[in-house]
Amino acid sequence: MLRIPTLLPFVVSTPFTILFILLVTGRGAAFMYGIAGAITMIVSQQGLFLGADLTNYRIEHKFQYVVVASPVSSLTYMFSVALSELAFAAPALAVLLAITAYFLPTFTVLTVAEILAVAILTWVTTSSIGFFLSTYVLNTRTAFLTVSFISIILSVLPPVFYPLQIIPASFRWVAELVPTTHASVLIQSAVNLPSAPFQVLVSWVALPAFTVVFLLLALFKAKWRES
Amino acid sequence: MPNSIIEAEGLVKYYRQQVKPALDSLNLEVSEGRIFTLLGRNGAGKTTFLRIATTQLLPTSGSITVFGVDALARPKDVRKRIAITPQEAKPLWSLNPYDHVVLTLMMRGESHSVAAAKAEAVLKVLELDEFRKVHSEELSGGLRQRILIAITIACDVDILFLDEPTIGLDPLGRRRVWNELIRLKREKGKTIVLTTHYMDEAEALSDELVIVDKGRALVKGSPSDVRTGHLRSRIRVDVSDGFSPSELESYGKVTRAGNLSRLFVDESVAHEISGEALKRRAAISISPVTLDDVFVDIVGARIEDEEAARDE
Repeated sequence: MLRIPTLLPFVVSTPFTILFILLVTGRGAAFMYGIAGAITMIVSQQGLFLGADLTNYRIEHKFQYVVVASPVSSLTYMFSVALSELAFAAPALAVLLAITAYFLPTFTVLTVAEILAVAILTWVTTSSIGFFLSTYVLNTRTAFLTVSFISIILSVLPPVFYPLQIIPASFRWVAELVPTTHASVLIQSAVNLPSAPFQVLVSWVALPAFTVVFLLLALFKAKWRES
Repeated sequence: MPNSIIEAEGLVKYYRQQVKPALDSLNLEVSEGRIFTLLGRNGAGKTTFLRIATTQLLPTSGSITVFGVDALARPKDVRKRIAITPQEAKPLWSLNPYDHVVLTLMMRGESHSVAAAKAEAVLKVLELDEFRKVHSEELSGGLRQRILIAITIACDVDILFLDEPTIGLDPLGRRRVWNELIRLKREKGKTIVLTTHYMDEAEALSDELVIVDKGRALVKGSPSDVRTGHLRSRIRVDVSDGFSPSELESYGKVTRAGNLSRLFVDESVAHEISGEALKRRAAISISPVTLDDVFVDIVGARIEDEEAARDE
């Protein structure tokens, strides 16, 4: 990020645009849903951008070939590059946490810890998805399109910027299949938005479970040595 | 006789949706502390072999050991002792040469101070030190290629794999790389496996080489063995004018090389042609047979055979 700070606006533009729309069109509660959604989206899209960047490194730069033929493991490589992606999210996260602290009377260290824990789980989950995809995508153009599409599936369509309760009960299970739904439910709960305690409990189980599943997928099913 | 450090037996590789194999029962041995070159046309199987040997790619069948270790079953034991410069790789555009080397070495487990010292040394040797802080996007193609070679050299591993390493380098840059590779072999006992299209590079560097075509090893040996062993004739005569095609054919098989008619002959026939050329004031040139001639003869003959088979 320090090398190319000019990329920062591109990284934060989408979540902050949605937040701005919610601020203009909604009331206070909608704005706080926007904050929860923006935090989730910023972290999840950085994980997915990892997929596009790694595809580029593999196909255009052949950098992954250099790494495979070295003692570096696939997960070390994934987390190393993912950390650099996360660095781009850090300023936006700091701004969003500062806004939350300003508007939330009950804001405590525990709130920060809860949000950061959810952010880390989301980052690991989406980075694993990104890495897994990057080892199968055949060209960089497809990679960027795929990442944009999955970003919509993960961050725009599911209840990330709005409450899960809006979705009719019979269809909620579909939303619950998306890891970012649980991330947002937990952040909404952390910033004192109305949440069903049972749903929060379910999300505290579901999000780490998704993290483990996608991490295992990246570890065992990503194409590190090609066949 | 040096020990074999890489042994490949019956390597076969079919890529998906390809009818013909990229490697077709390839058998190869690379000796420790030598420079080994794979020569071949585009698509001959050179890169496929390198990718299998460097544990990036699994073969369809066959076996390969590196340092005596089964590279297919135990890739981790091989990876810590090898490094590769892939073909047509590009440095990351936002990193400078120094960062490339340091970050790669740190990724491989070196401390920052050791990585920095090794980076300074290798950048100096490859004359990249004056560009050490310039983003690679602002460097020429040749300098970018030198960054990739610098990374591999800096890894200080037992086997360096270089896939067409000097493509895009100017003649002085190529010689700088050649000198460094020879120094690494002589002073540090490194084994270097490289692929190239440049015959002069193969001649200048190789202790052993193999000509590969359609996934098979056609000829193996030292450059001089390959040069003298394959073509019985040791003299190449290039004729520009002064002789009719039938006159030339009376001396031996004539091939076209651009505007020239080329003959491979022994010394007595070369004397005869040169005497006749002097009488006629015809333009000819006489030189020893080169690796390029052997390559064209071997691979060209296969192409002619295939074309003849297709015509039938």
